[in-house]
Amino acid sequence: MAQEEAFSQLVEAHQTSLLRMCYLHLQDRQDAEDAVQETFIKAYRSMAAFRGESSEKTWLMRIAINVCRDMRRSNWFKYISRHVTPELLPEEGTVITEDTLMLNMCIMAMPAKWREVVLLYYYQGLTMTQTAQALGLAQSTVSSRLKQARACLREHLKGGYFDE
Amino acid sequence: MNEKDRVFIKHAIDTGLSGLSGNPCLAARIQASSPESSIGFRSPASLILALLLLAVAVSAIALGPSAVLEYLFPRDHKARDSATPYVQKIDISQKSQHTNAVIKDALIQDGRLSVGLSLSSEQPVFIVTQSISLNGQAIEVSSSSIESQWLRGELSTQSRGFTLDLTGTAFQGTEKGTVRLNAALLRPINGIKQIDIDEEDIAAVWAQIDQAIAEGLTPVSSHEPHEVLVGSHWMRENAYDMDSGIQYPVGSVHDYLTFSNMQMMDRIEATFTINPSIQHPN
Repeated sequence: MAQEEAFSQLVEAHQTSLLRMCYLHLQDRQDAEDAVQETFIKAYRSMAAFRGESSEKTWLMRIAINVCRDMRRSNWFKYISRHVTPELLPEEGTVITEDTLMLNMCIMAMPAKWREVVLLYYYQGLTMTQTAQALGLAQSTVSSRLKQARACLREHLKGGYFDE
Repeated sequence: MNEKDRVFIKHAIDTGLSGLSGNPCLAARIQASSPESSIGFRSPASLILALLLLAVAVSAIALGPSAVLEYLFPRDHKARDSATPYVQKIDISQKSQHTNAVIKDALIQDGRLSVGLSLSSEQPVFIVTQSISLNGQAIEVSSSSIESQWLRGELSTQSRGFTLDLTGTAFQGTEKGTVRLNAALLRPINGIKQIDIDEEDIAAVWAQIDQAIAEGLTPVSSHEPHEVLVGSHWMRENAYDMDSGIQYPVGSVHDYLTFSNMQMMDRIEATFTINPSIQHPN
């Protein structure tokens, strides 16, 4: 029962942020929901084997990124990415500022390699080391991609937050 | 990179996607449906869902899987059900020395013609689409899973296909559409060398690619789907900027034969007709 309780806590702690991260990455709500479910199924099946060499969050994010990468390679993703304009999904009544809109659109439009590091480092709050572990990259690679992503954000948000 | 940026980005994402929240029943559902679970179905709703899925699976087997619907909607069962009545059967088979190709069916929807097919080969081959024409005219391909990809063995569990953009064509006003597909199946002359194209040192990656080619090997990406790479000689000949980053444009058959140490193994040449008046209205 301890493992089941731990799993429930894992899902409760990370499900919503994972769903939003997958949505920005896959740009389709149904795909994002599928990706989150797939991520937690894989996590549940391999929980017993988790050795704690990385943090639980890093381990979970690694699974999620790999699931998203697999889905991005699917035929369906190639079809939908050409014909659907992704939209924000705010709660009813939420006021969206232009900065908020532009930043989300910019993240969705940037190359997948940059988007991965932005979402893990900035959104999920992983450290540089944890981001590198989750992506299977060297820290220098993560640092370089974050720099490029930040330049992209600055370019698209001229006159806004990143220009300050 | 500071805490202020992190707070700003997190707030922007959470605000923009505040309508997207997790499913409170997800953990319980996963635990209930796991084969490791000793409890089995926890609720009548799960049992009903399982029976419904079983009924759908049985009926799907009775009808036979549609390759084009599997290609277009691998996870969207609602879309598949809606499109099923408009699927046009083709069932043209081409068997050559090493490969077997079956053009299975097609669907016209939303100004696009999609074709589903299955492919199998005895050994790993790299498929490159050379041309697709509709009523004698070359046509823009919107998407394809038979372009510059590896085939390994029997692919009965994965339907492939391609989608043509019918915009601006005279197809809609005709009585029939004749589609011609030409594809080449290539294989490495001497074997492959896997190269990590994600390395930050771009010059080093190019050096590895060129070294592989010099050794008579075919360089491929170490990351799935293991695309075949072309050497820097091709990049310079085609005036690509070597310093701006690695680009791996999909090459033509000629490029792979000339610049990637590959050889022709087989060809797929198929001609089939489609009825333009049968279209999915959605």
